[in-house]
Amino acid sequence: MTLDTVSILDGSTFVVSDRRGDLDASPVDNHGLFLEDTRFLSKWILTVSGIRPKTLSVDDQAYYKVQFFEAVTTGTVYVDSHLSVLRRRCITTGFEETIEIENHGSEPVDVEVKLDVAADFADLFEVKDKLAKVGELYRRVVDGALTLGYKRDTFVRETIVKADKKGEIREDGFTFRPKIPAQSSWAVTLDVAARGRRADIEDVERPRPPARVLEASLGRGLTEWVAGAPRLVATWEPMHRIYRRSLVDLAALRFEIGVSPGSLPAAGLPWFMAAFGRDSLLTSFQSLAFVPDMAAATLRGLGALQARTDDPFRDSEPGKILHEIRFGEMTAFEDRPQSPYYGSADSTMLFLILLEEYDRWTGDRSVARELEREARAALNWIDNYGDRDKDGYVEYERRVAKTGLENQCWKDSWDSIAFADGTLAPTPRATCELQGYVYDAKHRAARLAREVWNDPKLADQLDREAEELKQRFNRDFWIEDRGFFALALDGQKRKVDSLTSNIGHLLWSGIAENDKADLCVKHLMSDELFSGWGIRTMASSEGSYNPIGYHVGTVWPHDSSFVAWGLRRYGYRAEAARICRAILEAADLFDGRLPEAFGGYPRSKTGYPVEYPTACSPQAWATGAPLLALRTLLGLDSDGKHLIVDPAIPQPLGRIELLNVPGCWGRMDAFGRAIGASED
Amino acid sequence: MANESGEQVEGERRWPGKTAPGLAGLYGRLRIAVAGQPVATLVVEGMYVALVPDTSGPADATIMCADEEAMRKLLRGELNPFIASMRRWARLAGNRGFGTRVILGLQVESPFADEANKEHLI
Repeated sequence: MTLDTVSILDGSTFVVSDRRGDLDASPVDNHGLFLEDTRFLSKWILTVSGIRPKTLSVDDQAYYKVQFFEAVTTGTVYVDSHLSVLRRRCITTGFEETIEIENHGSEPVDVEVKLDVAADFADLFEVKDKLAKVGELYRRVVDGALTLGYKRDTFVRETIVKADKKGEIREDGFTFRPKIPAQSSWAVTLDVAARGRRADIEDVERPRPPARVLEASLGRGLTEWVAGAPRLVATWEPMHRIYRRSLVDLAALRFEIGVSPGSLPAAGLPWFMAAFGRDSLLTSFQSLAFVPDMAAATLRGLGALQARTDDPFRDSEPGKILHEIRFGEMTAFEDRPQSPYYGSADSTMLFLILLEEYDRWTGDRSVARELEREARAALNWIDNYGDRDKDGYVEYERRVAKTGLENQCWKDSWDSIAFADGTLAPTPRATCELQGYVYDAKHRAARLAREVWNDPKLADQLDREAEELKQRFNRDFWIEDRGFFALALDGQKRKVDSLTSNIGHLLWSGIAENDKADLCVKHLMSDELFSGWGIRTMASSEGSYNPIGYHVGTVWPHDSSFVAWGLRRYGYRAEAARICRAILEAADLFDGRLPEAFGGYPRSKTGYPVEYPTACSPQAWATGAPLLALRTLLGLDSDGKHLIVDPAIPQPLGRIELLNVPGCWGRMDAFGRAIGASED
Repeated sequence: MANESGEQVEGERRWPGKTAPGLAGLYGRLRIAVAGQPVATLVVEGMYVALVPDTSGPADATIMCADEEAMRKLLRGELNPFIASMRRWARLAGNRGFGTRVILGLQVESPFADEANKEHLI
């Protein structure tokens, strides 16, 4: 599948261009150089002697660099040109681009190389929602550099563009007029520096290295990252490409938030290149068996930013783990609450779940010790704030209607929580998976209290509370006549009776009683929920179902991966394997990179999963889905001392070897192969 | 010096401190500068914090306030460090993790909430 944009990125800096390499932002083309949720360059258009070169190929070398091979042609059927153009671009704190023009002819040639440059300094929210600017844009040419700037009160952002060749510099770009000898070439390198909120401090603390040094460093970092992960050997050949793609995309999405050591995963390109509590936690969980350090960084980073205060604008309450943090203009001027925003009802439980999983997998007690205070604050939030009306369940309702999120569970689009007839459920909403997460978080925290924090009294209390919740939940959420758990209890404590993938998360958390789990599994594997490519977010039998509805019918690979992990927990090995196989086969058809979501059309109708129009790609938890699927297929777990391997692999996937799996055991190998047809 | 994991470092001079529950577990020194000039140091020792005029010696982080108003907001616990950084009212250099935790920690019952209203804090 060929996309019409090309992206390179590092951390929160990314460039989205067309396949020529040009940036030409418009309401429909979200091109640009972005840093800290701001577009620092909206136009970057190359012409050679008045012609925009035609792309011959794009060499997407690494996530941080790209080459565009082009020809200067008049656009007739055959490319008949003596001038070729090579654009090499590498990400920096902006980017560096070398434009090389080669004259293949036998005569010298005079060319005019022109770059049109502009910056609109749009906040990412403005780009997405097409809003107008409030402050003042300015441009100036000083000392051979073009500065594009934006000022609103004390909010100042600038882009500085310099060239290494003399030419004409205007406020709207650069022009060079080289004479290129026959069979020779000419090149110019342009340095684009995006100067964000901390540029002057970083000039002193962390001076920007030259692009070639940075490029080499990024290359080394990527090599080390991939080498540090387990090595995969699989008889199903596409698995290698999918696995490597996942590791490389995770590397690309890593980013430092500056308040704690290490890098945590940003949520996704282009809209979500920021720390998102839920996304970073779930992705770190999915990838724990492969790159455990990422989980430690996620826990430390989110722990540092845990809410201290009660702030309705930010949906913040003491102990809550953040939903999202942004640094653009609308956040700076508090038009938006992401500084940080805490409107996530599940991140706090997921924080505790990952903390325990990391501790048990790695045997590294330091993180659980270091974050004991934060973990206790998180537990306090669950009971004293999460359960808003003291009915024994965590529920959510935004406190500022204009800026808060209506849905604060992972299905956070406005229409995701609906009854079977399509009617929206009134708030506050207590979605079922939130209760599962509470159950799991309390049991896991109990183990930490017992084994790490030396607090057996708390451990006993948490275990008891978890079991009481389980009993209550299986009574209050079960829909007897349909045989599955309600999606939620609404504001009037009515059961929201849609059949959704959320019931799979109840298996992951372990809150479902065994007899009820059996019935849920039948639903999960039915034609209504299992599309053949994964589990639909909403069953095709429901009133709101739409195969291309964001959370009401599409398949989300991460969702399916957690459902599969849950099926394993309850002993449904073949069913789990079937879902994992489906996700991996879908990944193969997406060139190894699963998107955030794809259409819920049945596999019997399509030989390939149907793309969802605005899905992020790469997206962190979609990138993590094949990793969790691999862990599920091999049945990898830790008892705190040993690596447990209990494979259940479907026939077509043959044999899977995962070598050098890191954990509390040091490094161990895991093997699995399909036996008979039972797992197929 | 600072230790975000909660270990107190030996040899640190102990200033007469005020109780600051939001700073529990934090140890270190946050230098405060206003308009480019160092003016004070916030000495943090777990639940205790002292604002001292001493600006000599090492600090774990420096909060560079654009003006006194920003500094007062910081001490009163009214400063959102992220908004402040985006608007360039106050920005951190050095150990940003420590500095951010101190600023966020002061949002919980800051001991300077009343005193900081006075014209001259230091």
